[in-house]
Amino acid sequence: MNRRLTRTIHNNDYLFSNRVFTVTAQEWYQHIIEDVIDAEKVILTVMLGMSIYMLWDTTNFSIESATRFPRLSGGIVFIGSALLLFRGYFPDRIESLILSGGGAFEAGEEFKNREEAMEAEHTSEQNEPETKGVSTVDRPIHDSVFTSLSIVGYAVLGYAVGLLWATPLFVIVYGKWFRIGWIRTIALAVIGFVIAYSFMVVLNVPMDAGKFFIQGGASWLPS
Amino acid sequence: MAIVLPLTLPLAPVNAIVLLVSMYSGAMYGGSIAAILVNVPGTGAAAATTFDGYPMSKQGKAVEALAISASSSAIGGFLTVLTLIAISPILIEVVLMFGTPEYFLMAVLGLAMIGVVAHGSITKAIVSGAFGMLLTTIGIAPNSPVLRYTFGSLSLYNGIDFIAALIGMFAIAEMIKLSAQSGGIAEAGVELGGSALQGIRTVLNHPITIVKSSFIGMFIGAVPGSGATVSNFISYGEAMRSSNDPEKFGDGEPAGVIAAEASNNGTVGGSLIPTVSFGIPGSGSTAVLLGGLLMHGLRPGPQLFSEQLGTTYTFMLALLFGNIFILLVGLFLVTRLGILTKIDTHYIIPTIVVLSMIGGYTLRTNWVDIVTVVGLGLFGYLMVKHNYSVIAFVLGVVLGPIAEENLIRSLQLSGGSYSIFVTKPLSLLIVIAIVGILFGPFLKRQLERALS
Repeated sequence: MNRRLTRTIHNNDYLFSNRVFTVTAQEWYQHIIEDVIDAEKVILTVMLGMSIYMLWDTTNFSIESATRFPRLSGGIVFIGSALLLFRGYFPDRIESLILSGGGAFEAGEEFKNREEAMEAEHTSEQNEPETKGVSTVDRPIHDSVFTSLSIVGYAVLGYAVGLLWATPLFVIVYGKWFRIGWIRTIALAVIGFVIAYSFMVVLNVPMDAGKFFIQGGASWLPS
Repeated sequence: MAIVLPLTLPLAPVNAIVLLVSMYSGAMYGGSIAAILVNVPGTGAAAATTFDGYPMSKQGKAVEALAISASSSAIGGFLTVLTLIAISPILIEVVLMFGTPEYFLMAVLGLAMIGVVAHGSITKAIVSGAFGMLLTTIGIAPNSPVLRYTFGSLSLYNGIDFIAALIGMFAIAEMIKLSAQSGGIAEAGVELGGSALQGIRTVLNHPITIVKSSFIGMFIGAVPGSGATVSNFISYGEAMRSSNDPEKFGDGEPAGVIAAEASNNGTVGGSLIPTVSFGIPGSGSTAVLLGGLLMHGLRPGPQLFSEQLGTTYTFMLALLFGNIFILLVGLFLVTRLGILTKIDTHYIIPTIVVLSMIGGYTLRTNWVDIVTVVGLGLFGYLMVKHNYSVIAFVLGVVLGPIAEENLIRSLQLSGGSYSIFVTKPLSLLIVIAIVGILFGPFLKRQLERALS
């Protein structure tokens, strides 16, 4: 389905055909996640962009010795990430040189095959849900995407209202998304709250106050 | 281990390190439980254990296999830690020969070795390591009052906390990965049968396999970047090669489990050599351990072998005793706790995420640490997906400040000349090793092509 969708979207002849109107939000999401976004390019662009900025900023440092290490490490990141990012434009020989592996300690051909077979088995097990949909719990987005978003949400909510209060909310959202029963979800939320509360009390770290809400904290909580 | 690091903050350094090394050793054994019971290795270090451990379980000998695993792990770990203690006087002499330039070069050597030894592209590993080092330059520069990349924010003055980076890279990235796998490993469980006593007898009947595998593990563990994931395969291969019945391997041959398990716990003793001597962790676990040492003010190198010698010997002895606990827990508890493998991963994930976030925040009550945990967690997940070495990145983060400090100090000693890194025989030797390691594989390939 996904391949067909890609072809449809990429081909202008089909763009205005009736089939385009059958594309659902989820199919668009899948198209963006699986065909448009290249995660490796994201990694390399982040590394390249940061190295360029960090190399440039060394020109503003007032003491020479403080520039040496950032220039050394930044230079390696810049050259390496640029080579990896644009490797497709190099001749095949250079591209294979860039991607050539180490593996100085190899366990022999037979074991490598076994290891690969085992990895393939696990990969197929992990990918099994892909044939049914994108999620193991029949949700419209990938489980890893949801987990990533929920963790980001947890951090943002924690900043706004305090980590102590954001913790049970995160656990409840996670539990319900992954179709864990209410009783178990609440039990997990209580465990999460107890963990946060214990850290707060034992290490004396204020986690009950947020930057936007509950700014004064919860003085009624026993400490 | 990564999420436990913040919990060790209130502990005394010795207690914290004892806790961490014991966890490291215990986890090395623990990976075999799922490998034997459900054919899913708990860690890469137990991958070869599945070859014969799981067939044994299917034959109704799960308890025997678990007993073999516990006994081999304990004996392997015990032997190599004992060897480590025995050779430590020599190690002290070697460590004391190293000066500031050599420590900087050893950090570079460690990263270079990880690039060459680890699977996947050398370029990717080197870039990952250098990127980790680059991130550590955020904040006040060592030995000079220069603020780097702080954008005027007070929260960034002390830079990125490497513990937060470790938590993000290991705990959060792993949880994101795990969440995409359905349920747990529960369905594939087997009945627990067989005799634990028979398992111990089997181990005692294979003394050569156990000694050989332990030392293979120790030797490979001492090479940064290789670790137990490699050693358990090599030991298994060696056990198979030297066996009179190699065809039995893969069908529930106890010697296969012995070899794999003795070697992975043998790796623990070996991996501590570069970690405590030169501050070069060879694996993710030793990187966390190194993080723990630094967090509690213990610097790897001469300090651990002079004024902190007591601490060093304490955690080595703790490892020895830890192996006895592995044996006891493995024989009497784990053989009865097959249910552990049936816990749904979706119950574990939110709890680990909460521990990671809360642990990250308690490090310095600085929101930069939460941003680090989340940001590097997501980045780490993408890195794992595209075969970028997370270990090299983490090594870069941990070694960055040490490497920079030694680089600056070396250049101060030489009046700014880089020749200090090649004028002393020891440093020259390390430079030659670095060049050889980085360009050796390419030259070897060219040579092979020319000869053929």
